[in-house]
Amino acid sequence: MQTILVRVGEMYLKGRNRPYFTRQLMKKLQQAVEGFGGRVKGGEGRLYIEGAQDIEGAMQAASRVFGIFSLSPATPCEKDLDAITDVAASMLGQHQPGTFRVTARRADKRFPMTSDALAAELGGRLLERCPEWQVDLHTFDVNVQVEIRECAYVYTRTVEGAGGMPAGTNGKAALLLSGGIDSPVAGWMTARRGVQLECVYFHSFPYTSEHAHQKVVSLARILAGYTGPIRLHTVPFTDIQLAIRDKCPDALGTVLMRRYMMRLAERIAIKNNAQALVTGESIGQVASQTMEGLACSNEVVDMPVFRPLIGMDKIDIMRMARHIGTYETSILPYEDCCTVFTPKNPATHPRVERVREAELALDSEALISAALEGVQVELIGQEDDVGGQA
Amino acid sequence: MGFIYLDNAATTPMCRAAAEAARDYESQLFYNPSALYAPAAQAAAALEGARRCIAASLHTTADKLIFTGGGTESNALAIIGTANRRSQFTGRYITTAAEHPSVLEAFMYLKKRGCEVIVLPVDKSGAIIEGALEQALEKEVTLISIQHVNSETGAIHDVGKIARRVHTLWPRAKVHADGVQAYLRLPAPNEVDFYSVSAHKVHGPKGVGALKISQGTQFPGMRPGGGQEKGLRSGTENMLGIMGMEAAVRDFPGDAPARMQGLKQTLWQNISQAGGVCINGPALEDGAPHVLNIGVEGVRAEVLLHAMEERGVLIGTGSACSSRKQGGSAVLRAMGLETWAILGAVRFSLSPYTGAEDIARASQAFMDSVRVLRGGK
Repeated sequence: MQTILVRVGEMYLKGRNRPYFTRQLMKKLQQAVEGFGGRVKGGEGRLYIEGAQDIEGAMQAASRVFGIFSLSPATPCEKDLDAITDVAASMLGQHQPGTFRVTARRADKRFPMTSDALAAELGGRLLERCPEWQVDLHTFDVNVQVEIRECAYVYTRTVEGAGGMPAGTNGKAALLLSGGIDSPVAGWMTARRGVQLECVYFHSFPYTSEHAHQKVVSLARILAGYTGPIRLHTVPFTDIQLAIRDKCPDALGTVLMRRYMMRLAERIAIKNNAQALVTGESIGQVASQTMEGLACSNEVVDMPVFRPLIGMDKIDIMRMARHIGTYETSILPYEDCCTVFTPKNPATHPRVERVREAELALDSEALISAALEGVQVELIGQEDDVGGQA
Repeated sequence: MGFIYLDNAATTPMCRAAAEAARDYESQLFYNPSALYAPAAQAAAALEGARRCIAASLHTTADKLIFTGGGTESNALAIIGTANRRSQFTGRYITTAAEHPSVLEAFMYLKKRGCEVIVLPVDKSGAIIEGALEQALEKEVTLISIQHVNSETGAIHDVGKIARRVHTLWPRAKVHADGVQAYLRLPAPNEVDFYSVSAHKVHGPKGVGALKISQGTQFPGMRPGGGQEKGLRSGTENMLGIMGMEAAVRDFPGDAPARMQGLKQTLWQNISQAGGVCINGPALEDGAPHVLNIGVEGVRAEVLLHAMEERGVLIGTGSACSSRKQGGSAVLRAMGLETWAILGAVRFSLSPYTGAEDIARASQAFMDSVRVLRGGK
């Protein structure tokens, strides 16, 4: 039966905290591969997933776990040259004949041959056993890799992992999650650094539909596939929007709306022990994301606001959204709260003093309290989504 | 909660007669019409009865009617089937820019495989731009497909006249009309070779439709199998759906078109008082009796839809089949309408069972919604 070799990422830069990070990673990895019958085992320099009945399924699930650099499905065998040759030859036999090379790594220094000597010897034996193959060290079709550890591991394939730090090892932040392309990517990037997410979504019922809400639930569920279960806080936002529309200058509508979103998100963050806010803003992308617009929405909160996309182009963000699997959901065209009462000519360079003055027309505290009272919280990604027989 | 349902161009509720017919079939006559025992022969007779009934509603005979899985399948069968008759994907195929996606995508499929495809432009009323058709007909045509009634705007094409013109110039050419929205609301044209209809737009069940074909139509079916429906559509017949469709067609009130036309005019008189609204499509009296598409200035269509939903009235924003694609309706964009009219485009579509009271309440809901959404400072 195959074992999956797991290489961990930059966790290895850690010093005395390393056991903590390793424990967290093993826990998350175990959750991810549990359904495929996999058991996670620690080791020197590697983690191992053993016993998985569905290797491909387990690989795919594990490749989404933050903190993993790469994975290889490997066949374990005795630390004996004959045994290694047998396994390697049968692996080569599964590929179309072509060129190959051997890469060896001797982590167990008690093994009598050096890495280079092992590679050369194994290469020679494979050439004899598989005469239809040729060696090419530089442009090869298959790289036969051997690692000598507790036992010998032979493999030919390596899959990239999600990278980053194990989930939940770097505190908690509240993500302002819309149905758009950007905010799920911002959330993913932050979560990849080990940050646990609380998602906050602003819902303009009845003007935005249940479809729009479900779309955000779907996005949160995709993120939860990487992070584990996520809480989604849905904030009723219509009354605030109507108040702004009725009492404030049209051109400032968008920036005022952003200020209330930030305030509400901060309150929810504090209540849930989160230490920062995360948004999908990127400089200059829309009217409210100019330097002045960002300054206006930033000044109403005390918490650090992380904007991981700030210097990215839209095209890069879209590429990343495709990579993490949120793009197809994000482009479903339901109206979201930002488009319900879009001003005809939003101010692109709002002056903070003007904005503060306009806001005086509103009973901010009452609006915020009322919105917070109506918040609905759902836990996403925990329920068993699979239908049929349990 | 009882909604006033004015999105009948998207789908209609099944009428009681259709539901009963489907249920009776399933409980009493569930046999495979191709089986050899007597009860199966009864089922086969019921199937042929339904075929005669639907054929008559299309002014044709039972030997020229194929049951299908609905409008989309009927369209694909006629368009792609015609192309499949040839050993290679060659020939000239003509359609319009305002067609339903099931037609446009079928044409794109042909284009990718090497056929010459011509898409005729439409004007602001949804009609084919004058001269474009004549110009396209200067060379021999393999198939032309033009919808009878546009689902989004209610624009009507005189497909009978077009078919006569095409056949005069090019006797071998085939003419297809997508009749899904026109069915039972406008007289079916005799002159077209293919005509697609769907049951669920006329208070029948979903998942069943029909295609009228011309005498001697021969092309390979879309799927291999037992050779049902003249080999054009293998697979055990969807008897439940076909029985429901027949009942719905028999039940459809003959005076419905005139009544719907009257109600549509009342609706427009009421809601046009909001100001800043326009009709997207043909003039009121020139359009199909059941569809009214309007542009509302300063309001986004989906937001207005939800505001009306909040007030108990369900309307549409365009073709439900494509409403999940972005950028506003492709049909309205093809018509060259102004941006505000596209972004604020909503569609009211009536049924024979829509009453004057429904129209009054919907008008009120519209006025209230628009007032709130436009805001008054």
